[in-house]
Amino acid sequence: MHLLDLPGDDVILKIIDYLSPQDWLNFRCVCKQTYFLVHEYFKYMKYLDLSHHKVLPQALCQVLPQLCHSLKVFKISNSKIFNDECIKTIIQNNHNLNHLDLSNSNLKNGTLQPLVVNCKKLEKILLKNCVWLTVGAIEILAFHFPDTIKVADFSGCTGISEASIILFVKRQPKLISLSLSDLSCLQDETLVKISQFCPQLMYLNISRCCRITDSGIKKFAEYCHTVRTLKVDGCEVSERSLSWLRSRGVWIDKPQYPSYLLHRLNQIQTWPRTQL
Amino acid sequence: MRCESCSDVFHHRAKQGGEEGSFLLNIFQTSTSAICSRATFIENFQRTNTIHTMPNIKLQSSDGETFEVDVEIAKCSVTIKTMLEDLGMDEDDEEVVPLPNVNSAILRKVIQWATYHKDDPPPPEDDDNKEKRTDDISSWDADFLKVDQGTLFELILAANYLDIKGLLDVTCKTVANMIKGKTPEEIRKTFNIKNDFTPSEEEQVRKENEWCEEK
Repeated sequence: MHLLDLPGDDVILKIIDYLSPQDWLNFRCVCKQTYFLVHEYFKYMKYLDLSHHKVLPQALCQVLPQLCHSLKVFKISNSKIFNDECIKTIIQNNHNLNHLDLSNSNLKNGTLQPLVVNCKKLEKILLKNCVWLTVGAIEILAFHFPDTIKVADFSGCTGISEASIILFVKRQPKLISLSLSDLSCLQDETLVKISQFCPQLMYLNISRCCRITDSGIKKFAEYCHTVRTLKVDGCEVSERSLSWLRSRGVWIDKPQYPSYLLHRLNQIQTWPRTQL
Repeated sequence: MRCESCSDVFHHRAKQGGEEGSFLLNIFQTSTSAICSRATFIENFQRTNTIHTMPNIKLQSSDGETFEVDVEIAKCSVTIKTMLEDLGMDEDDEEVVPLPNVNSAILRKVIQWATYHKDDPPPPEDDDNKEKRTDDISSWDADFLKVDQGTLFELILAANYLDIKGLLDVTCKTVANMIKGKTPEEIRKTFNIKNDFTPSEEEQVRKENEWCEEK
């Protein structure tokens, strides 16, 4: 009994599913049959994570966009291996895309255009530090995208505006996780709108959004009762607003007491007791 | 045998005879042949402690050997489960389920795997949103699959035909681990695969595999 006697569709493709990109390359070089099988695999591949790959063989750069048609998860954060056209082609050909991560990429605005037309099942869209993203792109996503998105990350997307973010959340009531850190455009008004339009929100990250104040957090706490995790590190907010959320069991990354006070408390606890 | 105290207890229970006794003796003998370690032995013993009478079914291999297996263990195979439901077979029937695609040696191994895993929860559906891992094979399964390649591939075929997801997953992971990290030539040597590329084709494929320059 030989490896290549195993049924291709049921078994060998299943085995290739467990291999890494480097292993695909090596396996396809073994003989003509494995070459064919690896290419067949790309047509049925559901999960593709090339994050942090700075380089990729020419073979994959050309072949993957042409052959991949069944992707549900496509991640190329921190990666420069595909150009805009390749990514557009991949998005265009993969209508079942459920999870897209283009964080820290350097692309053109029009790259997301096929997303709106072709991918009606998207649930997670991660575009952290995509400074190429514009107000127009977010507005198109807001107006034309179905309300399927549960996880969105626009942290560090300095090209977008507060109004476009509000428009987006207004049309995505199923949001569970929203990351908007490092956005200086964000003000208290956005927090109020988020709490009003996202009745299922559980995770919110607004770290280093310097224009958020205690007033915004208080109003957010008033309207949003589903949140479980809040990240506000680097925001000018205090316990006057955060305590409301802490009392409801919300985990907040900002410590309740400043670190110098915690250290002092620790010191007091370890002082030797003296007899009075 | 490594654990004398365990083997003594096992032997004692097996000698008590009856259905339970012969079942235990079978496990005992199987464990002996696998040179099972103390931990595995205790595990087997603890599992057999929960034996109670369950309805049986007869499975017939391609070479005519019949295996009596309790029906709940046999039903881990979706193929067998469907056959039983479609044929409307009663659990007490003397009918035999023919498995023309599985020989006796492989069927014996499949039954051994299914018996060990009989209390496992049903395997979850593949999560397409997660990367597939191969580092989560249990030590029992790893020992069970320390077989020659021919047997491993026959087990894959049997698991595929019988539609036993857990066994198919673990055997495919085992083969994937034999491919991972190897160069094409090493893969050819491992699986005795002939390189049928012409020199120019091989050169072309090797060129395609060259890393692109960073853009």
